[in-house]
Amino acid sequence: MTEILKGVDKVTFEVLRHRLWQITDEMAIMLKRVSGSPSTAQVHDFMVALYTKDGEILSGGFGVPWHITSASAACKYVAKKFASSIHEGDTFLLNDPYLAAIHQSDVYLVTPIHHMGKLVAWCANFVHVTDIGAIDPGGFSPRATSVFHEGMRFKGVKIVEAGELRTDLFDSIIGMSREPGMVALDLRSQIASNNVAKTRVADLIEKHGWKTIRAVMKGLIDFTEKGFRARLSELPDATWRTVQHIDILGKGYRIPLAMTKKGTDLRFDFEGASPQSPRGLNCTYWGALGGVMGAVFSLLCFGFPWNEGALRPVTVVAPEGSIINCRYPSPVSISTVAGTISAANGAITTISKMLGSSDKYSHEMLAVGNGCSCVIRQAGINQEGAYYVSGLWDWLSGSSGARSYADGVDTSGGQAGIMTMMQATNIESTESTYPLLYMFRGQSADSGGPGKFRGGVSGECCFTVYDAPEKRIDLIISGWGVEAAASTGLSGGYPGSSARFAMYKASEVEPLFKKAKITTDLVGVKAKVEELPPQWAGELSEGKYMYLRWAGGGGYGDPLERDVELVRADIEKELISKDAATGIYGVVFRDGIASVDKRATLAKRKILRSRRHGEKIR
Amino acid sequence: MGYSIGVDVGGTFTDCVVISPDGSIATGKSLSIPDDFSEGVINSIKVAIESLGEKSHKILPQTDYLCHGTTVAENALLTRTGAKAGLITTRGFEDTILIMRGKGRIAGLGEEAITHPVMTDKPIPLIPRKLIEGVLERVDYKGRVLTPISKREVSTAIGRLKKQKVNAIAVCLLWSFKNSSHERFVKETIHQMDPSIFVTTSSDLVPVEGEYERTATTAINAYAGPVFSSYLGALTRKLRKNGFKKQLLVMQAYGGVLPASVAVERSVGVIESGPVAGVIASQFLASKLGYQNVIAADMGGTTFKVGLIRSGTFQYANEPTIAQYSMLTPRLDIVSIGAGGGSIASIEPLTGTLRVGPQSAGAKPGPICYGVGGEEPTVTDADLLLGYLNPDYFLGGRMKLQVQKTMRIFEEKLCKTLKLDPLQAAEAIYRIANSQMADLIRKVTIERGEDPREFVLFSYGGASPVHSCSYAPELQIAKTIVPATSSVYGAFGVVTSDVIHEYLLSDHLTVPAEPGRVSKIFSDLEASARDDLQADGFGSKESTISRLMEIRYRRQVHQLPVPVPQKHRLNSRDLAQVYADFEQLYETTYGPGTAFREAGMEIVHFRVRAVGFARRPPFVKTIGKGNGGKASASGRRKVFSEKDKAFVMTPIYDLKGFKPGNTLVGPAVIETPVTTVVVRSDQSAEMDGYRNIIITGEEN
Repeated sequence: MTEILKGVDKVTFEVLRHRLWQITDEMAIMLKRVSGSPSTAQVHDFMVALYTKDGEILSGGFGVPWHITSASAACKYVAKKFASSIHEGDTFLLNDPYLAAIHQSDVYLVTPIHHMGKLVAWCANFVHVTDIGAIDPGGFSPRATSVFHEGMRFKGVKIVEAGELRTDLFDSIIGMSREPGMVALDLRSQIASNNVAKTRVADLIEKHGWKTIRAVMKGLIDFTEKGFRARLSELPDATWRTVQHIDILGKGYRIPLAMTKKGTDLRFDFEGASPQSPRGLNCTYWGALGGVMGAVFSLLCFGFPWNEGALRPVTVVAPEGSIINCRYPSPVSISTVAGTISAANGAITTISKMLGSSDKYSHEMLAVGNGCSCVIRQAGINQEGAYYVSGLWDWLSGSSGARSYADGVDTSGGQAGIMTMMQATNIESTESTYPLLYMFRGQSADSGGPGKFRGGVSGECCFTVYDAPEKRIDLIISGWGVEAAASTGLSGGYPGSSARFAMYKASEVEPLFKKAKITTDLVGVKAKVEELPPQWAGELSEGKYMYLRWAGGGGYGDPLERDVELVRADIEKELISKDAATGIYGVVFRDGIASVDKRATLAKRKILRSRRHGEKIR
Repeated sequence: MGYSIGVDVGGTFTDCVVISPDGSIATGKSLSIPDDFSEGVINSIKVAIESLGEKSHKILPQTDYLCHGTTVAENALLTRTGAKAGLITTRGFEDTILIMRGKGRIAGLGEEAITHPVMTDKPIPLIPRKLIEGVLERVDYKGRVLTPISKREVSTAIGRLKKQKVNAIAVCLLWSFKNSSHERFVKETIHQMDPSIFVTTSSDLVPVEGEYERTATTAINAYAGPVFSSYLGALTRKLRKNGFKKQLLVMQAYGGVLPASVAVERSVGVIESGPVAGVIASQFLASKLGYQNVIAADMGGTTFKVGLIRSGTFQYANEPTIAQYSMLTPRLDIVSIGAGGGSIASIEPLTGTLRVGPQSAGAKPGPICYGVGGEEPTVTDADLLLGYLNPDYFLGGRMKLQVQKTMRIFEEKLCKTLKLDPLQAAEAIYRIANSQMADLIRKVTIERGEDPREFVLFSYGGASPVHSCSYAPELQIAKTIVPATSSVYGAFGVVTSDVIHEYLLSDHLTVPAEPGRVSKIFSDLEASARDDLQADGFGSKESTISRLMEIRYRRQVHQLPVPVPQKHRLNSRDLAQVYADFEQLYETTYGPGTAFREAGMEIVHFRVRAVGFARRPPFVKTIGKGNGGKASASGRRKVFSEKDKAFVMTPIYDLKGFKPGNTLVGPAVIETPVTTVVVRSDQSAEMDGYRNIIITGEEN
């Protein structure tokens, strides 16, 4: 223990640990303040972190966790590539997914931190910039078939040189975007955020001396590694497996994962993953690594600072040329919400299975929540007559998976049900900014995976264009998880619901209006509705109604073991239907749902159980 | 001119301050009575008045202002003992308050909780799904009625809620802040069907964009409303019985007081108003002492709280939360961490490092040294071992602090692993707690672009002045003031609060807006403001009315308030100046180049604030009566000196023996029954004419 903290007294260590965290907190505040864009300030689609001079993760702050490791790769790349030409006051811009970034629209800004002229650390952040001039507006490009369709791509340029913004480069970059003004703000917020980190770290070194800070940096990383390894050593050695599926252009892609824990090492192997797809749902190795580490941080590193120490016991193997580690120049613009998420889902599942093998840790299990993507981007002329590109974030109301002792959190926010900090915007904010009108937005009954403990429910919404000068806007859908549910359950729990995208026509919806000019649900639509494929670029025009349901959380345990009173309460809360209560949970009621018919329930559950024996298991 | 009384109810004590017509101040303390807080209020008033040698039934009839800070509403919320409340909302959006924009799982939580997502949950719903009724109606973003509301729909919804025996209903419909007619209709229908139901509409309470936050605010108001209302009723009756004739005033979390008749409709506004009173007291004191920038630092048993006063005014919170719900009612920006006297020190098993907080032993089982069951080392225990606290003079000697037991438990729980002796362990706890407090102050100053060196620190709350001597120099804060009234600081803050009414209207107007329309909006709002001030008994000389417009750039989320001239008829030149002020303010606030000018501006809110000035104590300086010389010590004991890193014989002073103008040079400990002030060896202290202790560093 003591060698972890060589040369630092323990009190100073604790003080500085707190302080480093606070610096990343301040970086996040700066991003939100300067940009003021809904995506950054309200949805929290960003990440901030500090790195050592070698690019090792020092402090992964709040934000989308997949990026903590790939921004580390960005620091490492820049450190090596630019070596002697890295100077105080420089800031590098990089968004090449084959070098480090996960997809192009999450633009990394990487800034060296110097002390007495020597490079001592790095800080980095990303925001999802509004538009990067790809084939489809908004950065997710379902139509792209190569990385060349996916917008600008930088392998590291000095956007700020010796403290001076390079306006020639800056203007060229924003000039490649459909939304130059918004992108300028995005980039300015990123520069400001790194500047804050740089100043604060420099102050810290000034005050405590470089020797102390260096020892604390090392101590923090060692602390996490030691803690994480100690935790791993308490868990059994074994291999746990799971499979994820991504549906692309009507075809299923398989992503198996075998996680092996041996001693204090953890190996994730995606051997057997389907070959890369022609669309941008693939991810590069950085995406796979980021997804896995997002799960590792969230499920195994509580109580420790999130840094390089968590990475050291972990190996991630992904076959080259597969959907989980595609070859250049495959398209990858949807990877952050596809390949990366499915790596995260797989890791969440195998880690939870491992935790479930230990009495001490079984309460730490978590099934996957909001496991696929329902990304929607919109572009067109707004009610003020101006062209815009933006997103719709309803689906980031999320859902999270069940636990071994409790239900999942309904509409828990974020992706995959773990720590991502992402959240939805208000309908009033959407309707006042974009030419849209919502018919409804609510929780979606039966979307939570059934189980002894139910997965958290997701939600659904329906909207149409409204006050749109052109009576239409572009709509770009970059989703998956329609054909196969992605929110895997645990220990016999069912998966959460799949996603659904559908376009209703006026002739189908408006009969529901009666005299109301709106409808508040789509119950009673008899006609065959146009189900949209999850990768789709088209338009939303007057008389069309877009419906979206995102994925619910996976369940835990056998639904036939669920407490009947919980089943009844779920009906009351409109979280499950009565059909599901009887058909899946095997609960039979009397007088509506006033009381449970215990005998009929026992019988029903027996029938459901025996029916399983008759089922063929493939 | 009559008496002014301030009463502040805390967890343990109810404090009272009475200001006599001649400006002299009397204080009183009595135990809080959780079963009936109003009883504790009456008791504390009696104690204070009796200390004047008077009787309360004689003084209360001569009392003009009786201001009150209460925790009744937040207790109802935190213990889930509020009303059985229902919610009526727009059909299709019934789940808004349950979805919480997907942020309710982590809103307002700290690093430790957020990085352990498996253990996080949303709050238990205040209003269960079966008590949420959607009615068919729709208003669009411009306030145009798309689908009219129907009487039949509304009556059915109310009928269903009545059948489930609700006693409060929150009403929040989409876009009601643009067009409140539907909400008003629902409210009237409820009144017609059952006047006993407590009704609150979002367009009355917080007519602001953002349906989740607006619904949550309205729902909490309905939930806490009936409890709060019956409390205010009971208290008012008791006060009447004792002869009080005027309107009771109630402390609000935005930093003013409101007449009970208004406050009763806005229980959400009083939630967490307790710490606000301390900031108000600091603001008042700062104005007397001539300080513009103050850091108000309050250290209690479980938390350390910091509020800022900048250029004489206080700051409002950006995204306030209560119990993980996001709120729209304005609240003072007070940030807290779990670093109080009761914060527990423990060993992190892996590294063997020492950690302090956020767990707290609170008042029960409390620190080890209290001897009431505490078995975990706390910050207060460390303070005792370091010699800062006097074991024989705690609460004026009413509680003997147990040094031996504390030593023993430190030895067992900390010393073996840390390889330190108990006194060294105590020093480490002291340092860590101080650095956490310094970090929090950094967070509220430096992170918001403020330089702590330009601030004076006001240090109050039982444990604060033991620690501020250490963290203030770390932040290079030159001057620390321990207020004379610190033992009843909350009550003092309450009684010095102004009456503040806020009026708000949401009407998105694209810039440039039509001046006639803007003028009309403001004159309407101001008419209500004048009526209310008059009803509260404030003439135009004792009150002020001001106007603000909140403006934002379209497509950016930050909106900023900009003052608007007080003219009956505004012209386009006046408004052009307001827009220019906004553009400048935006860049000052968020930095150069942060504005998205191309998108254009829009006015979002019109605000009018009516302030009736509190009658503040004249606060007679007594400096002439002091001897101006050195204070004389009442004793000596060994106390830890941070500078010497050793225990040194240190003079102890009793505050009672201090006179204005008295000075001392550190190291020193100044004791009162409720507060201990530590002065380091590189600091000196002086009592000013108001009996505040002022501590300054050596170099100053």
